[in-house]
Amino acid sequence: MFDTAIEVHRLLASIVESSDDAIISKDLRGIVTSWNKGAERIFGYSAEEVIGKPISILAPPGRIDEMPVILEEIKQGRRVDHFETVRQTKQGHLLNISLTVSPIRDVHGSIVGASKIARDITERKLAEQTLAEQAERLARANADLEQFGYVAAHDLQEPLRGISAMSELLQRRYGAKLDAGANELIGHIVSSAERMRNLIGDLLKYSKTVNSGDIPFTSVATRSAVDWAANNLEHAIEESAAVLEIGKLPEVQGDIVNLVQLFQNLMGNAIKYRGPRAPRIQISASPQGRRWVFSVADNGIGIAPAYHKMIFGVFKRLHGGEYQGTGIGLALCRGIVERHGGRIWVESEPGCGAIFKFTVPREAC
Amino acid sequence: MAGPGPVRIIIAEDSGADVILIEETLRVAGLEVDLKVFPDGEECACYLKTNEELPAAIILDLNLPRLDGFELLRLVRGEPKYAAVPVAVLTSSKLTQDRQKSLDLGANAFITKPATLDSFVETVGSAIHDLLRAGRPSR
Repeated sequence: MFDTAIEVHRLLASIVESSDDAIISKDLRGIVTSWNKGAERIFGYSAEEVIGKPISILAPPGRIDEMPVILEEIKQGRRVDHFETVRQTKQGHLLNISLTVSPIRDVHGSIVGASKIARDITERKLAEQTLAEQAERLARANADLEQFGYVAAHDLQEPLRGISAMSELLQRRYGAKLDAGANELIGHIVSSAERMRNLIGDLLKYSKTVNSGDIPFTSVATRSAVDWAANNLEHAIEESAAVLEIGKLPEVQGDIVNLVQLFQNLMGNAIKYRGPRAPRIQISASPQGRRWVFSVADNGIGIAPAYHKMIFGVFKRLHGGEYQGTGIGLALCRGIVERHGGRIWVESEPGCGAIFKFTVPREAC
Repeated sequence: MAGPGPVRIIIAEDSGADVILIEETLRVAGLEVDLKVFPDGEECACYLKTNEELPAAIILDLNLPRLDGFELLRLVRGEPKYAAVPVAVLTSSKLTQDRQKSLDLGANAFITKPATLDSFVETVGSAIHDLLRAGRPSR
């Protein structure tokens, strides 16, 4: 394709010259032997200024020691790949740099120097730092919010206890003197207060779960968590004639109390939202890459896809009246799964049952 | 309760609803009690310092305006004349550190206010019974 070696040489040179990255070569003493346009642009020195000078002029104070180490690697014939460091420009500005340095050999294969490609990653570093700061701010805001939720729920209990007890007392002391309409109104106060008490209790339970990060994980046989949950649901299982089919379940790193709660909520939902047939609940787990995928499948009323995300929110309920509950159960499940480093979702169609799936990391964390 | 008349119980409680619940508790328990109620810690402290007539028991809330229940408890236990008077802390707190601190400061009982009318009447009623019994032999 090319007529002469000179043409090839010219082409390569123009590639080097047009590169955005700094492409530099140096000999084994660390003396600069070539310097492209990219190097001029990044470091501010022209080729004339720098060729023949030691490469160490680019090292800021405290980084001088890196250069002999890199040269030693090169002399051993090894490449230094994407080494992230800091270099200084002619104007004294510090830049975050990613370095790749490889040995240059002569026709006999002896190492005579090194080629060095330096990329300015200052902007990337800055973006990474901004991102890390934002993540930290977000985590802090989240923690504050969780703390706020806990405190608010806790403090709300106090006046509520007064409302609840006073309305009961009102009914007891004066119920006989009041007409049916007044008694009905008092009844509404009592039952509203009762409902609020359940909501607050669940909110506290939820915030305790998502704030329980400092309880250490242990090795948990998930089968025993399932058995324990089934035991807690004994009454509901008997009453609904539910059938449990439990596959082989693995050991995971986790919080046993959390995991019992997780299975109990999912199994409890499978029973609560049953269809006309007796509930059948199948629990299984399978490895998928570095995680276990657990599955809790039922033959109940199912959930329309439009609600598949919403149901995991706090106090989100699809059903009123006929189904008891405050709507915290699945939010709690999500909190537990996320605490264990996994995620939870549902696969379902109305009338076709629901399969709740969640992941848990396989290796100890 | 055999005795010359109603026993006196001092209550430091800023919630009117809780005072009514305590009264209801005493009524259901069939206790004839002369209640002296202070909705403010400072007022209760003043009374305790100057009062000469010993109460049969003292019931303190922890969260009180101006002077809290712990301070009141410290004051009561610092007064030799109240050494034999039983004191109960009746609070919405469930915290073990609040319980421990109350007992360390010399409370005879720590009661978390139960959530419903019936459980309040039952729990607080039996606690007051125990409290009055605890105070009797040394009086």
